[in-house]
Order: sequence, then C-alpha cells, then structure tokens
Amino acid sequence: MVRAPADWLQTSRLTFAAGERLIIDGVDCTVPAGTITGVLGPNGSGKSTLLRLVAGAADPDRGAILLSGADLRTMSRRDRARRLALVEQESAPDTPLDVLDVVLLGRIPHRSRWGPDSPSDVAIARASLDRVGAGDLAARALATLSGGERQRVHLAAALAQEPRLLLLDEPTNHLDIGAQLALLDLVRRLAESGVTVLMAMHDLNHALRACEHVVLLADGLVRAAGPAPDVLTPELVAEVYGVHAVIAEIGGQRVLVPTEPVSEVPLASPSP
Amino acid sequence: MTAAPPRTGRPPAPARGPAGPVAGRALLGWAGLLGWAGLLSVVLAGSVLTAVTIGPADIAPGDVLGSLLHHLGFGPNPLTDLRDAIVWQSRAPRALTAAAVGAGLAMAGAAMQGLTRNPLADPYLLGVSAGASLGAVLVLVLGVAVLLPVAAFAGALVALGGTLALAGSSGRLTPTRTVLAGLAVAQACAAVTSFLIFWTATGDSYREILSWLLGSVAGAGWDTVTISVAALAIGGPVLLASSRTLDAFTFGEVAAASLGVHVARARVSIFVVVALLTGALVSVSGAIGFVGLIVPHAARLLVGGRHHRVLMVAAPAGAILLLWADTAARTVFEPRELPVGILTAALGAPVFAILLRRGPVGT
Repeated sequence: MVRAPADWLQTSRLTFAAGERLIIDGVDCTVPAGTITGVLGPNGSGKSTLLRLVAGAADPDRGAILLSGADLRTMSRRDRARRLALVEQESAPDTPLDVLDVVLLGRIPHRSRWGPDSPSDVAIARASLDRVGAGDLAARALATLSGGERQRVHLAAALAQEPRLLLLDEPTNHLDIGAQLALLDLVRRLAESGVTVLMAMHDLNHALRACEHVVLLADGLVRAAGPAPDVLTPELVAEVYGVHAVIAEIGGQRVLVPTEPVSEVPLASPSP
Repeated sequence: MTAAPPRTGRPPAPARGPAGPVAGRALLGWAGLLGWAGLLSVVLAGSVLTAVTIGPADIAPGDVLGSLLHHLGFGPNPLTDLRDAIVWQSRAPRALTAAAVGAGLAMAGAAMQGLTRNPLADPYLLGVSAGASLGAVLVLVLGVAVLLPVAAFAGALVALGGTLALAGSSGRLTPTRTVLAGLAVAQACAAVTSFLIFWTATGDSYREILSWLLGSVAGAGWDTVTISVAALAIGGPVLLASSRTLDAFTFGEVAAASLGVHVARARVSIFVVVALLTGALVSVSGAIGFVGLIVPHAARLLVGGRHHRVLMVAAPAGAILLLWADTAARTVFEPRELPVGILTAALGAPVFAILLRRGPVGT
C-alpha cells in the first residue's frame, strides 16, 4: 500500500454542548504527525466527545478542527472518512457479520454505491487484518471472538479506511492485561508505520508507556498538555483525578502508583 | 487465546493459497450472490406458474404456458374463455400481486432492521402498515379525491414518524422501546380503521375490516399488479443503492458518521423510501404481517449480514413466501378463504419468539 504521510491535527477553541451542559469548553490541542497522543481525564471530562467531534459524529458549536491545516468543515464527509477513522469503545457484538465483512465495512468511504466488494477492497481488508495480526480470523463470525480479538478486528476495519489519523476510544477497555499490552504494542507499530494516533484512555501507566504526548482534560477544558512525563505529575494527578500518587521508575519504565484519595474529593472510578 | 503475540520476528503471513484460510460468506462475490438470487428467482417463476394452476378449477401447467404464449401472440389458446378468464383475470394477477407485495415487504423489513439495528423491526410491528391501512381506508370512506397509494404512503409516513418520535422521546431509540411504540401506534391506527369501516360500511364490513387489518390479496387484479410492481420497481433499486449506507449503520450511528455517512439525512431518506414502498403495497393488500420480519433473518442466515446480499436474496424469498402463503390461504380451507395475514402470523409469531429469546433485543 502506498500511503500518504501522516496527518497532524489541531483543534482551536473547540466547543460542544449537549443541551444545557457544556461538554467541550474551548479545547485547544495539537496532535503532531506520526505520534501517539493520549487524551486523559476523569469520567465525564469530554474524552469521547472530543474524539467524536474530530471524527465528525457530532458537530461542534464553535471552534475549528484542522487536519494538516485544512478545516474539516470544508471537507466532504466522505473525504474526511478517507483520512481519519474512529474505533469506538467496544459495544455488544450483536451483528451476524463474519470478520472479513466487518473489516470490509471500513471500505465504505472508498467503494461505489452498487454491488459487492471489489477485489482491491478485499485485498486491502485482508492486508489490514494481517497488519493487526488477525489474518487467520477472516472467516470467523465476529460474535465468536474474544474481546482482544474483536478489538483487533475493529482496528483492522479502521485501517481499511486507509486513515492518516486514527482515533481510538479506550481501546484497552475490557481486555485482560496481556491483551492490553499487546494492543498498545500494536498501536505503537501502527504509529511507526505512518499513522497519527489520538487515543482516549483511562490507565495513566498505559499513557506513560505508549504516548509521546498527552492532553489532560478536566470538565471539558485542557488542564495540561505536553510530553507524558511532564503532564502526569503527582500534583496534576491529585488535582484532576483527586488521587495522591507517587512516581517510580521500574526497569527504566516510569510508573505512577496511586496511594490514597485526596480527602473531600469524590473518587473517580477507574473505568466506566 | 485473547490476542496473538506481536508478529515481529515471525515469518510473514502465509500466502493464501488453496490451503490458506478461506473466508466464507464474506467472499460471496457477484457470482455467488447472483447464484442465490438467480436460483430463488427461478423458484419464484416456477412458483407463480404452479400457483396459477392450483385451485377449484383444474388447469394443467402446460395449458397455462400455452395460454401465456397465445396472449404473447404465439399459437392457439388451449383454454376455454371461462378458464382463460380464471387464469388471466383472477389467478395470475393475484399470484403476481402476492409476489410483489412479499418481495417489497421483505426489502422494507431488511432496510428497517438495518437502519434501526433492531432485529424486531418490520413495517407491521412498527405500525407502518397499520398507518398505511388507515390512510387508505380514510380515503375510501371519506371519498377524498386522492390516489389510494398516495394516501397509504402518507399514513405510513405519519405512523412511522409517530413510532420513532414516541420511541425516542426519552433518550435512546432502543429496540424494546421502538417495538412498544410501534405496538401503540399500530393499535391506535387499527382501532380507527376498524371504527371507520364499521361505522360506514354495511353487510360485508367485517370481512373488509379483516382484510385491511390482517391483509389479503383476494381483491387482486391487474390494477393491483401495476401498483405493487411499480412500487417494487421504484423502491427496490433505491433500497439496493442504499445498501452501502445501511452497512455503515452496523455498529451504530457514531460508526456510520465516522464512515462518512450523513446520519440524519440517510435515516430520513431511507425511512421515506420504506414508507413509500410499504404504503403502496398496503394499499393493495392491507397490513400483512411478519413477512418483513422473518424473510430478512432467513436471508442473513443464507448469505450473511451485508445489505446488498440480504436485499437481493430477501426480495425473491419474500415473494415466494407470500405467494405460497396466499395460495394456501385460498385453497386449504376451500371454499372458505383465509386472510393471508393469518398464515404469515402463524409462521412469524414463532420466529418473533425465537428472536426474543435469543436476546440482543434487551435495552
């Protein structure tokens, strides 16, 4: 596959309200091309909404989203879907589709209105499955896969869109730790192959492990952004998450160990 | 086995020769798809021919063919005038109407199930057919100078809008809420329809109520063939052309939007086409239930869940199902004739129960 260079993303003064409630309140953030950028923040801080706004699944009330300098609103929906792809948090797999069919859904922005999939669509879908190490699952029914396998298949479907920017919403959710680390490893290799990744996540240690940059959201605002070790300090974690934590270094890997909740602040649960 | 280990250091993926893993239904290309659709179409043609020969007046298949050739301008007519009329004024238009209505309802059901991600969606269960019946009966009773299919379309559209508004009035459009809302709308429409007929008609009004509420193609003629075939010829290709969009909704609206679909526009336009198709069909047949529910599920079992395949297989399969259901309805209890909707409900209710038990229908 000949691929275009990775895209960089910039949002400026991005604002989105659901009814009366401001969910995204003037977010400025930058995602450098070819990097993995983590979106962090407690539940309800606007992580998923930010990804949906970028993916075009919701329209911002104000502000701009620039993809390598081009305003997404001037782009057709189809063109946008050819440049960026979203993998949502896994929902119930109540679909009768086989794995290859699921991955072929990613070809929708590229294919014609009529008829079955072209040989090139099938070839790209196969290649996408191979890229996530799931080539041998092609003929299985989606409903028979494990959580880790399903997440890989959804990732392959997103890759079949041939995106230059990949949006991942808590991709390690509901996975066992082995599958979590394998998935982060896979995301790392995708970034190295020229895809920019913007990934919402809950696990701060995953962010320290996988992300060059992080954006820390609190109440729909960017509280801090920058290289992961600079942002994920005990002070900021205590302020944003309401949890005291210590930083340690184990085997050259920086880790963050939560110790106790900051008093009077309700605990943010680790996962929804 | 949760996830394969990273592949670095391993040999590249094996070439996919004959020994490699082969995807099943996903690789069903034009050939396989047209194979199924073609096979079903041949069965359908045979079924129409056979159904025309079945009935109190015994008419041999060869004579039907001979008569067909005669009407096309070849050879003498093997049938007497009376028998010729039985074939060409009664049975043939009835068989063709049943087939067109079955095909259209199956396609409408497949589209609704795909768009709402609701395995229980179908024009009958969501109140669309009842709304179309009401629209048609209103015109018949009040004598308004509107074409019957147009009134049925308007009724279908209003009912569908009502169901979706009621289901979505407090947040998300869940399958359960949608079916409950459809039930309310269908019952309300059926009550008004029954009342209107009961109030105005005389003598045969019970039969008329039944044929609108349960569906029947007993009154079929070449005019109903024209309406139902025209509706199918317009609505069918439009739905087929929407199969890419319907596919995009497989994992919900956010996923559809991120695949480049304008979600609101796609929903409205596909729903309007479904209402148009259902309205036109109901205006000739009344509200026939469950064809739109069971046929798409059967088609998915056969060719998988992608919509270009489901629609192309569901159309001939729905036609075959309703044709044989109607043939049974008019012959099994001879000389009595059942409204065909009773038979489709008898087939459909168990399928509905199975779908409920299988579970993803919850909240």
